[in-house]
Amino acid sequence: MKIAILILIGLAALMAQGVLVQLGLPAYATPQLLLLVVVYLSFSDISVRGSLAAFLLGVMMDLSTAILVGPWAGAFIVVYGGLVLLSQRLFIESGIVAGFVSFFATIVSGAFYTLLSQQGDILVWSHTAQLFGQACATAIVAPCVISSLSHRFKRRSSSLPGRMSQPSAI
Amino acid sequence: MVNSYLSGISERFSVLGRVTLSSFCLLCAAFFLTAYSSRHPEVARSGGVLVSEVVAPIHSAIEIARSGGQNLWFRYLYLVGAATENGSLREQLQRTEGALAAISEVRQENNRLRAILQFSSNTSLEGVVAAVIGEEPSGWVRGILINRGTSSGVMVGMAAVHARGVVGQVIAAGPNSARILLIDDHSSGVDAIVQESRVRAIVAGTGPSSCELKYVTNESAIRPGEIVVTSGMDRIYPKGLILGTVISAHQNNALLFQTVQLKPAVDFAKLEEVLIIASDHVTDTQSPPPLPKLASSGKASPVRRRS
Repeated sequence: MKIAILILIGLAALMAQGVLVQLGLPAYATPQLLLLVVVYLSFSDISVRGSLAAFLLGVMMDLSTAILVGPWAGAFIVVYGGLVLLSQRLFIESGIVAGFVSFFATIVSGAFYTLLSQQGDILVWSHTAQLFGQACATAIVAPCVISSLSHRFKRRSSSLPGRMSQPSAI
Repeated sequence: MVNSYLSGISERFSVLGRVTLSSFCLLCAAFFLTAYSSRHPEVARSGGVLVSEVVAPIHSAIEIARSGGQNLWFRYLYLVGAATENGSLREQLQRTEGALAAISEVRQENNRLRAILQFSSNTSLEGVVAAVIGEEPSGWVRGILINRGTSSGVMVGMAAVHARGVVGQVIAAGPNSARILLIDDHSSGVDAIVQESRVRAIVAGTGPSSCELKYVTNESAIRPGEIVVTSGMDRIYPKGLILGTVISAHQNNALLFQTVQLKPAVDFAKLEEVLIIASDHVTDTQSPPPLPKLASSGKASPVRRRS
């Protein structure tokens, strides 16, 4: 049930991204809202189900591009797995931490996607600039998005492994 | 207690292990999908179509809202300012056009006055420049009203001329205005001479912008196009001022005189300024002969021919 909700949220995030671009926001300033859902998942749902949700969100992102299926899924899985390993040491409810984590998550996912989709070609400067801009934009909106998602799933937090709301973990 | 702590760590590591393992498997799946979709692009395309079908209505709605908002802004809110600006620019344009028209009018008036002054200078005649302020309202008499009167030295009997030629004669003068009988009036008569053939005659008015050369004998050879000027014998108009051009001359053996039509040199319909010049014969009479009902004039002022 939660995966379905997360998929719906991911779809909404995807559409929100599209709307931002549609409204004239340049690509380098468009935050990766779908990735923020994955970041949230990596702190709130450390389980096979969470990894599957991250994978599906990535597939959804891939399908929205309609070029390749897999690069974004792999990138999201990498982000999810990496953050799961760090989740015991980070307090994601802090806005600054959420921003930094999202910034680096965007860099990693973008780099991984570019690497996979360009089939090993090195990152060109335009990709790097866009990646950096997207990372900044994502970091700016991350506290709000993650806080909203936390609030949304607050009542279900008892079923999660409890990485969030543990300041002592920093 | 130690056992429970160890079991917790073990459980945590087991969860991390499962997640790591599943993530690794999913990563491999992603690689496989990437490889597969790169060889079979229709998979990505069909999936993209699916996603597009889901999100397209929402994007369409947003696009409609966005374009509507843009239209609202550019076609209404933005144009509110544009309308105000347009109005002020229109006012400015009207003011500028008015100023330009005034300047053009002043320039034309200046040119006309220069022409009159040039005429005055060329003919060695001194006089008073007056503006035409009206026409004879009855329509039965060909006359105009000027804005100069006895206070400016305008007297009954003075000649009114223009740079193009003779206009008429002052028949009534008040302190600040005067009436002029045009030479094309039926009661007007000017002693004239045909410039080339030197035939002397009387120019009488026959109607609007039309005159007749009277008392030209059949023996006189007058051709159309000849210039008719004042003879100066009537002591009203100085000698040599242009009256008009002969447009037709018909000899009639049954009559003593031939019929000669004349076109006045001055277009009275477009007359705006005249030069009132003193003639050798300035009358003090109270009722001038052509229009006895009009107002009388004052005493003549010494407006004389320049020596």
